[in-house]
Amino acid sequence: MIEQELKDIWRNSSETKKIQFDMTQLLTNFKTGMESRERIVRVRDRREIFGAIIGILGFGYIAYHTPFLVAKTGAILLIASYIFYIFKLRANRKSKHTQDLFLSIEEQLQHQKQFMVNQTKLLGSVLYWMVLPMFVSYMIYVWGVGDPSQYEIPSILLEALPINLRSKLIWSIVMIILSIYVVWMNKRAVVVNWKPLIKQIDTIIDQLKK
Amino acid sequence: MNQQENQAFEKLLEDNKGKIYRICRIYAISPIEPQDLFQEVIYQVWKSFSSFKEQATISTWVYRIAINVCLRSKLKFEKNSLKTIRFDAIQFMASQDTSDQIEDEKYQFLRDCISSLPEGDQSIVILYLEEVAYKEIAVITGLTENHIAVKMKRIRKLLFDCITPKLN
Repeated sequence: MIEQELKDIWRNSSETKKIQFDMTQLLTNFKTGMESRERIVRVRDRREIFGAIIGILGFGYIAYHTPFLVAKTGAILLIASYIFYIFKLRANRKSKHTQDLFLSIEEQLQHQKQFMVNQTKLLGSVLYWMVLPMFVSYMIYVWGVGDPSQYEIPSILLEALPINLRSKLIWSIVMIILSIYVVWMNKRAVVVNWKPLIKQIDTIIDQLKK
Repeated sequence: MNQQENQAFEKLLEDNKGKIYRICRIYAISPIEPQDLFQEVIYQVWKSFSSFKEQATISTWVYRIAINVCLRSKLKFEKNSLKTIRFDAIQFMASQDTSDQIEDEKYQFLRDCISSLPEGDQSIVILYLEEVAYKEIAVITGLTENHIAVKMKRIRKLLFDCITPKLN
């Protein structure tokens, strides 16, 4: 009795709205919507890669022109770190993540969880795959710059090189602060954004299976 | 999509719009409205339409997408993506013959009782109210038919205990 009443209440609940479609316009809306979403994801993925490419070009120029062997090694290591950074970002880019919404509820939740766990691992280990390699390479570069008076160095490069002790110290401190900030920000994103979501998904999966 | 697929998609929408909207009404939590969720579900159905293989029935497939989209909307990181501009191509008009206050009240009771169930059980009770067979619920959820039968016994009791005093 109550069962049938509930089913009737449920079935009637969609009768409150009359839904109509203009199919031609709807398909146009979908196509535009899809293109716009894909563009947003692509731009987000490319923004960080673009920054790394600027770094590669800048340190490529320095590595080519600087006469100091240690600084040149540091610049080359920095380029390698940037390339590794791009590789890591491309391997984990969000646009590669497929939603697979036609999977069963349990499978879909597991997929979603796996994606979040991967993001958590990526952000949590940022110290090892990004910050440390860049920091060490940068220190080698900064402290490897010697006395430029014996060499003919392009003036544009001369302005960029940390020549005296004061500028070496300033750049080192800036790099330390920046590294700490990047690690802190990523760890915070894990704790604030991703871990609660993983916990939420775990709860739903548990409830579904129980 | 070609002309034939467009027609098949249009038919799918007409046949399933009611059930999609009912599911969206349960999962929509402010600031997301049922209309936003509905739009997102049919967008995702359209996006996946060409990959639909007849291993599952079309209704199983639609239920999966609808519930998966709605569940994701409850997760914080999905909320921003749902704040999209509403398409003019979908019109929601108030039905004239449904201004029955008692029916609305009864629906609110049912909605409240469904919302009081554990998150994982809500999707199962929705499918039960849709009169989907246990076998199909098992395919949609990814659980076994026996598991669904055992769970349904417990969920029905919870639902009836919650709603019976309210309806009387």
